[in-house]
Parts: sequence; structure tokens; C-alpha cells
Amino acid sequence: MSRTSTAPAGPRPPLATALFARRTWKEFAFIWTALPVAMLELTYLSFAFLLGLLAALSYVGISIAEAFATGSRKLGTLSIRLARRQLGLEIADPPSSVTHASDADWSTRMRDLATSRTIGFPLLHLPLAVLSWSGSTIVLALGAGLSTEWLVQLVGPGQVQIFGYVADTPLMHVVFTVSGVLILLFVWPAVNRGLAGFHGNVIARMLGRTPAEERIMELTDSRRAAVTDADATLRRIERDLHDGTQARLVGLAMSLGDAHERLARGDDPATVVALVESARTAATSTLAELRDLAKGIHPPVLDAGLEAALASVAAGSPVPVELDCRIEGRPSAVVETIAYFSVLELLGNVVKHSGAGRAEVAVVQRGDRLVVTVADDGRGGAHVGFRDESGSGTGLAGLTGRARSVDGSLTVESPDGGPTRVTIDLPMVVA
Amino acid sequence: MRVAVAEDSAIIRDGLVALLVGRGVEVTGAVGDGDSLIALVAQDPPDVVISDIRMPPGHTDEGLRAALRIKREHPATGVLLFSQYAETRYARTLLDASSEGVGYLLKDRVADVSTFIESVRQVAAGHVVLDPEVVTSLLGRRRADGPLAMLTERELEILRLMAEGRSNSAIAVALFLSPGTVEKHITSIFGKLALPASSDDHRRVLAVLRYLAAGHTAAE
Repeated sequence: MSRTSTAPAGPRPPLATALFARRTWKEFAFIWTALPVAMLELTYLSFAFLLGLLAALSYVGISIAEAFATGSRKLGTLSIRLARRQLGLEIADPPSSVTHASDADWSTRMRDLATSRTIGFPLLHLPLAVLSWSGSTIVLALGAGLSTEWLVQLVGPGQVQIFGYVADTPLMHVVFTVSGVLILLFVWPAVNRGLAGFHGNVIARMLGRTPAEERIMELTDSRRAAVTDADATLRRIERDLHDGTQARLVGLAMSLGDAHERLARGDDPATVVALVESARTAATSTLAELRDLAKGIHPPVLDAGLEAALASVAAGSPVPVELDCRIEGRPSAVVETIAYFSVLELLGNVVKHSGAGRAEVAVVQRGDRLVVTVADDGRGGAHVGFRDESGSGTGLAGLTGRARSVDGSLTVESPDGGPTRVTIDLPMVVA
Repeated sequence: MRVAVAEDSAIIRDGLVALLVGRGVEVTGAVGDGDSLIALVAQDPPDVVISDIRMPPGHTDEGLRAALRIKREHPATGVLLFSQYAETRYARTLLDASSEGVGYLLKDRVADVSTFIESVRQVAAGHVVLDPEVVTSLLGRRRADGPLAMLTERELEILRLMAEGRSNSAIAVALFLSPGTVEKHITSIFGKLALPASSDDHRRVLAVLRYLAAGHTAAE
């Protein structure tokens, strides 16, 4: 199973110079720093466990346990930061608690606590930290001791014993010194690297996000985008119906009711003509409005395929549009709809804001992705805004939400002065 | 009769004004939001206000809030809410605020011009007018074990018409009954719902509305 960590970045330093490489010493520093951190973690855990046991006897037990869990999550971040800075590992912050204590029931909170990997991490971390710390330090000391043995012998009194061996002949001195230098140059950097790397990867596995957790976060995001988009669409349709169609129909009913009463009363038909005429106008404009509204929900031209639909959009645009459509299969209906409305809105932006003389729309299939590009030669400066701002860029934010609802993305390149290029990357097929 | 109109849709506002003026009603002003309505009424209190509920700036219940304030500051001015939705909650809020000269009609009702104008006059005269839709949803809260379950179909029908603000004689005409029969049914309804008897049409209607709007919890 692959995790969200990568091997330390950068080229491997050549073996012979590894001893003098900055990276080697950063790794060594990591091993030394990680040891007190691991001790702190385990101390915290033992303390928390004892207090938690005491607290469990009372009603506040679970809240206290949660507070401790939050604490160990924060402590875990310390190890992650250390591994990130010293080893160059890419580790995401630990997943935040699945639930929010305030709105979850008791059993969910318990389960959340029980499944938190962060809590048990110190139990594994301390032995690991001791292993990498002692392993690396012993090998380094051995190398340093052997290589300097001759020197020590020369300046100081007494003998240097290494693993019970004493160098008492010049040959032994040479053997000791050479093997010491070899250890320092080749063995220690490798051992150090191996231990630090292993240590860092354990941290990444225990504390970082699993691919499943990453996916859950992506899906949570895209679901939020989909729900927000659907809600915004439904509200817009309701508003259009309320302000447009319903209002016109009320007006129509009013005119017809008035006309009916006037005729029934025997009024001069000439006075009624105007009322009937306004009723007719209201009926016709209501029809046109309903047609637009229906088209806004699902344009019938889309049934003939994305290319045909976009061709009709391009043909109707006040700014000349060059359309380049290269799709082999047929994308999912929802993808076609998103692509269609995005192009429609982007071309609308081109007409309204860009001052461009021409625009290009490209729809290209790349493997299982559909890449839609809308470019213009206008003044640029487009950006993705948020809803609470002045309103500028909210259209693009809406399109981004739509794209994300199907695991797609939207990128805007629009420097001030132009040109503007908006690229939407969508999956061909949405299951 | 002098009327002020608040409606954000120009089509409906203009149509309404034309309709009222065409039937000899004096329109003191027509505005597009709640605050303007309050200002208009303060300047020149009309006999009755016809107001949309959903208006700028928030497009929620601006008209209702303006109506409540007008009712508080100018109790003599009737308030007729005029909406595309029949919300029991709005009707209840309105009835809670006042039981004199209030009304709630769907915009659809304007198609029957004479009845609509008559409703406006009723509200101006201090009566209560509720849309049949609103009454139906108030009555729809009838539960199998509630006191409304004890009413016969005919009694329910009469209750519905009463709640809409019709007088005994109007109910008699609508149901092709004699006024005496209607009177008998009404006495029976009041008995079953344990409401205080009264000979005054208006007071009786109010008792029924209060009962329905309160969700008849007291009687259950």
C-alpha cells in the first residue's frame, strides 16, 4: 500500500563524500531530535492514560479522553514537522477527527477515539527512536573510535580497546584506522540514511493520511461542491419561476378576469380589446420565458451531442468563436451538461467582460479525460472569487464547483492585460 | 376606498393598480418593497394595504414584517397579504398580530376580479379574509383523534367557508342550504369544538381561526 510520503528529495550524494554531505548530518540531527520527542510523547501518553482511567470513573471521562486525543494529535504533528524539515518527506497533517465532538453521539465519539492511530503511536515511536538513535550513534562512534585510535595512542597514555581488541602492532593500527575510515565514509552514512528513512516512513504511515483518507477528503469536497451547486441551481430556477413565469401568469389571469367581467357586464368591446391584447402578450412572453428556463435546465440540442450543442452556441455568440472539437466516444450526460454550461457561461464572460475580438473553444479527449479550453484575446484579469465578495469571480467559482462535483478541475490563466485561458478538466465517464 | 400597493413585480403591480383604478378604487401609491410601503403609509394612511410578502432586499418575508408594523402603528389600516405561496405560518403570525382587518390571499385570486375587490373591501372594513388554500392547510392539521375528527363532512365544509371569512348567509347561498340549517350546523360545530357561542358572524369566525391557528392544542 502506498502512502502519502515520498522518498527524500534530491539526488543521492556520492558515497565517498556522504560523510561530509549536509543531508547526512540533517538525518543524524533528526535521529537525535526524534529521541526526546518520542520520550515526551510516551510520557504524555502514560500520564494521559492514568488520568483518563481515573476520569473514566466519572461522567466527564470521555470529554477528558478526547482532550487528550487532541493533545496527542498535536504532539504527533511535532514528529511530522521534524520528518518534513529534516528528511524532506512529504507528509500531510494527520486527518482531523472524523466527527466533531459537539454534534456526535457518545458511541461515535468512542469509536473515533479508538480508531485514532495517533494515540498509540508513542508506544511504537519510542522503541523505534531508541533503535535508530543507538544504531546510528554506535556505528558513528565505532568509526570515529577506530579511525582515531592511532592518534589517541600517540598523544595519550594507555590503550584503546575496541570490542576487546587492542591494537598492539603497527599492522593492527593500520587495520583499525583503515576500517575506521571505511566505516565513516561508507558504512555509517548508509546505516544513518537507512535508519532515518525507515523512521521517517513509519512516522508517515502512522500519522499521515492514508490514500483512503485522502480520497475521503476529496470526495467530501466534491460532494459539498455538488450539493452547493444543485442547491444554487434549484434556487435560481425557483426565483426565475417566481419572478418571471408566475408573475406573468398572474398578470395574464388578471387581464383575462378583468376582460371577462367587462364583457359580462356588457361594456363596450373596444375597451376590452386592450386587455385581451395584454393577456396575449403575457401568454407569449411566458412561453418564451418557460422555453429559456427549460433550456437552462437541459438544452434539447445537447441530445445531439456536445459538438452539435457547442456549434450552436458558437454560432450564436456575438464574439466570433473558433470551435475545435475532438472527441471519440460520448462522455457521460452529466459531463456533457457541465461542459456545455461552462462553455456557455465562459463565452458569456468573454462577451460581457473581456472586450475580446475573438474566442477559441477547444474540446479535446485525452485518454479518459475531457479537456475543455475557452480562450480569448481580451483584457484578462479574470479570477475565481468567493460568494461573500463583491460578486466578481463568483461565476467562475460556480463553474469550479460544478467541475469538482465530478472530480474535475478548473484553472484560470488570465494575467492583467490578457489573454485569458480557462481550462476545465473533466472525466469522460462518471459512474 | 383608498388603497396602497406594495409589489416588487412591475407586471403585477401595474396590473393591480389598473384593475383597482378601473373599478373606482383610489390608489394612494404603489411601491416595490416593505420600507417604501411603511413610508407611504406613514405619509398618508390608506384604508387598506395590499402587500406582497417576498420583496427586496432579502426576498423572504419583508412584506409580512412591514404589514405587522403597519398594523401596530396604524391599527385602523387593513392589511391584505398577497402572495404566490400559501404559508400557514405567515397566516398565523398575521392573525396573532391582529384579528381586525387582516387578510391573506394567493395572487391567483385576482383572476376573479369582483371577489378579489370584495375581499379588499372586507379587509378595509375590519374583517378577516383568508385564502381557501390557507384554510385547507389549517384544517389539514386535523388528526384522527383530534376534535376536528368529530365533525361531519358538511360541518367541515361549513367550517372551511367560515374560516374564509364568509357570513352565514353567504355560506347558505354557496351550499344551497337555508340560513336556518347553516345556523344549526354552526351551533353543532361550536359545541363539538368547545368554542364560546356568539351571534356575531365576525367574532365567530375569529374564534374558529384562533382555534385552527393555535393548532387546537388547548382543546385536545
